[in-house]
Amino acid sequence: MIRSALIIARKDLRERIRDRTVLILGVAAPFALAAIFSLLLPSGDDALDLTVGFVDADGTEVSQAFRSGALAGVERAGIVEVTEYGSTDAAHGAVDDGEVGAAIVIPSGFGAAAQAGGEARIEVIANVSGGISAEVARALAAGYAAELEAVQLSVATAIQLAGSEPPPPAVEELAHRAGEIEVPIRLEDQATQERAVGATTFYAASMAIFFLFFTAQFGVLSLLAERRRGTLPRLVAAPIRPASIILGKAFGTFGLGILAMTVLVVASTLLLGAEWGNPVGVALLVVSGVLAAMGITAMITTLARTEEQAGGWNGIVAVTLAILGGTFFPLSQGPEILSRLTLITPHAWFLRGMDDLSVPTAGPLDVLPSVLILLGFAVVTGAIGLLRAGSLVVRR
Amino acid sequence: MRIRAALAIARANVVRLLRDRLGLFFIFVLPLIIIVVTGLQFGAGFVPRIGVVAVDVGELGDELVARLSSDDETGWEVREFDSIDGLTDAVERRQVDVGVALPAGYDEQLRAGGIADVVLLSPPGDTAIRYRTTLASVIGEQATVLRAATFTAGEGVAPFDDALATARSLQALLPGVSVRVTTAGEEFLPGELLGFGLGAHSQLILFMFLTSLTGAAQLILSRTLGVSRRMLSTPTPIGTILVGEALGRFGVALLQGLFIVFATMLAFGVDWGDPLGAALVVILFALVGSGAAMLIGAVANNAEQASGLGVMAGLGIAAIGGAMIPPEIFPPTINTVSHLTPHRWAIEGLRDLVSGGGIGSIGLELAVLAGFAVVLLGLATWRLRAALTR
Repeated sequence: MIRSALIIARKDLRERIRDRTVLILGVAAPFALAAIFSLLLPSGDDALDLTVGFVDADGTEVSQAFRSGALAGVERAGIVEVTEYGSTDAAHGAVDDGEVGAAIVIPSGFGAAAQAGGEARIEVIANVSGGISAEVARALAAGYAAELEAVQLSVATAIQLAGSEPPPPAVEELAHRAGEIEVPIRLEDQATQERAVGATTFYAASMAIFFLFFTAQFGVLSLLAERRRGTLPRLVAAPIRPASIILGKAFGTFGLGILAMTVLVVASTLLLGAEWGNPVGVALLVVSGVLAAMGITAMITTLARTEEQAGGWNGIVAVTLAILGGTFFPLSQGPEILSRLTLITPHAWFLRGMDDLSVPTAGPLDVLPSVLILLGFAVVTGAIGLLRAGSLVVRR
Repeated sequence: MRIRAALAIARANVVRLLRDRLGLFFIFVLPLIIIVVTGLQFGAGFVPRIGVVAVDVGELGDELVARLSSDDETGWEVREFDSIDGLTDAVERRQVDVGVALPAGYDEQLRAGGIADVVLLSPPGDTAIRYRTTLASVIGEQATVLRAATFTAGEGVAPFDDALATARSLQALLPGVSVRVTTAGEEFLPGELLGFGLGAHSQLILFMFLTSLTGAAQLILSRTLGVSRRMLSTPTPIGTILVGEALGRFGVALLQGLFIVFATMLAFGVDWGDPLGAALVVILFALVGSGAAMLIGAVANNAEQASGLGVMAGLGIAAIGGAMIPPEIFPPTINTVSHLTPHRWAIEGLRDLVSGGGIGSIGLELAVLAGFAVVLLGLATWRLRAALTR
C-alpha cells in the first residue's frame, strides 16, 4: 500500500515541479512579496531623535529651575535634544520648519505669577507632525506645571484648613517646606523580553504561510482533475487500494509543501536576512503548518464539484483566513475583538510560534502550544477531507 | 470600424467576468474587506495602546487608571489585565505598547503617607521613552493633591483625608499653572486621509490595475480557444475587434473603480474631492490598466503565464507605487522610483483632489496618466494585432 502510494506521490511531485505554477505560487510570489515589503518598510532601528526647543522669556529662578531641572535631566539622559531660542518668534519659526518637533516657551512674568499663586501659563508650540517630540514637550511642561502647582496647592490647603492667613514671610517659609515633600508616587522602569519577530522575518513568515494555502491544494485538486480526465477510474481499477491513491496524493502534497517552505526559509534567511530562529522549532512549525493547510484545503476542495469551483473557494478561504490571521498587517493595532478573532486561524498560530522563537533563548518547546493547535486544525479538517476524498475516489 | 460590433465584443467580455463568482469576489468583495481592515487600523491614526494591571488599588488607583485612558490627558487606549504575568506576555508580544502595573493596596499605602511604586513595563528599545514622560506627567497630577494632603497633615493642621478633600476642592479653584499647546507646521498625512480614506484611495488603484492584469488571461483564453480566429473570419475588421477587446477590459476596470468609489463614499463616508477630477483620474487609470492588460495578453504565451505575470506585476508595481504602504514613509530612492509607476501619479492626483484641489491643480498627474495610457494602448494594439493575425 505504501509503495504504490509513494509511486503516485513521486509522479505527482514531478508533475507539479515541472509545471511552473507551483514555482510561481509556492516560492516566487511569496519570496518576491516578502522582499518588496521588507524593502519598502523603513528600517525599524531608526534612532528616535526627539527635538525640543526652549525659550526663557521669563528669566527668573522659576524658569531657570525648569531649564536646569527637568529639561536638563532628559537632555543628559540622551532622550531629547534641546535647542534654546532667543524669542518666541524664533522658536515658532523653528517648529514651523520642522527644525524641532516642538518648543516650550516660558513667557515673561511667569515666575512672579507662579510664586504669587496667580495664574501662570507655559506655552508649548507643537509641530502637527511632531509626533513624540510634541508629546514629550507637552508632558515635560505639564510635569513642571504640576510641580509648581503642588507647592501652590500645598500652601493653599494648609492655610485654608488653618483658617487664617499668616504674614508673607511665613507663607514663603511654608512654600519652602512644601517644596521639600517627597513625591509620593514613584515610577519604576522594568524591561521585558521581546517576543515578536522583526519586520523582514514577519513578512517572510507571513507570506510563506499565506501562499502555503495555495500550494497545499494541489493534491486534492489533482484528484478532481484525474476524475475529469478519466484517469481516476483507471487508477481505481488497478490492483491497488483506494487508500493508497489518497495517501499518495497526500504524500505528494506534503512533500511539495515542505519543499516550498524549506526553499522559502533558506532563501529568505540568505537573501533577505530573515531570522527564523531555532531550526528544530521552525521545522516543527513548518510541518504542522503544512499539515494544517493540507487539512483545510482538502476539506474545502472535497466540498466542491469542479476544479474551478474548488480553486475559487480555496482562494476565498485562503485570503480571508490570511487577513484575519494578520499575515498582511499585524492585527494588534486593530480593535480588541479582532485580536481575539485572529486566533481562529492557523496563520495567527503559525506567526505566534514564530514570535515565540524570536526570544534568543527559545527552543523547540516554546513553539509547542502553536504546534499542537496547528495539528488540531490538521486532524479535524483533515479527517473531514479524507472521508470525503475517500468517497470521491470510490464513487464511480 | 463598426461601433456596434466593438461594443458587442466589449459587452461579452464584461458579462463573462460578471458570471464568474470567484471573479466577483476578487473584484468587489476583497477590496472592500481590505479597505475596512486598513481603515480600522488607521482609523484615528496610530492609537497608543497600553496595558494596565490595577487589582485592589482602591479609589486612588481607579482614579489614576481613569486618567490614563482619558482623551484629554493621554489619548491612550487602555486594556486591563488581571495579573502582571498576563501583562508581561502582552507587552512581549506587542499586543500593547507598554504596560503599567499599580501595586495592590495603592490607595492605602498613599493615604498612610507612604510611597507607591508604579512599574512601567516596556520592551527593549526606545518604546519606554515614548511613554515615560507622559505617564510621569499623569502620575504627577495625582501626586500634586497627595503632596498637598501629606504636607498639610505633616504640618499638623488637619488629618490626611480632610486635607485631601480640601486640596481637591482647592485644585479646581486655584488659577494654577497651566500648559497651552498651539500647533504649527504641515501635517504628515492630511486629516481627511485618515480612517477609510487612505485605504480607499490606494486599494482603488491597486485593485483596478490588478483586475485588469489578471483579465489578461481571458484574452489569451480567447486566443487559445479560437474565439479570436473565428471573429477574424467574420467580416468584422481587425481594428474593431481590437477596440472591442480594449473596451471590454476598460469596462471591467471602470465598473470596479466606480463600485469602490461609490461603495466607500456611501458606506464609510470617504471623501473623493472634486467629482469631475476624480472621474478623470479613474477613467484615465482604467485606460492605463486596459493597456497593460492587453499588452500582457498579447505577449504572454499561455493563460497560466499571463495570470502569474499579472498578479506579480499587479502587486509589485502597486507596492512600489505607494498603493500598499503610504509613500510618505518610503526611503528617498524608492520614492523616486515610485514616480515611474502610474499608481503613484494616480494616488497623488486623488490626494490632491481630497485636499481641495480641482482639475486645474492635477493637470500634471492627468497628463502623465494619459501618457501612460497612450503608450501602453499603442504598444498593446500593435503587439495584439501581430498576435491575432499570426
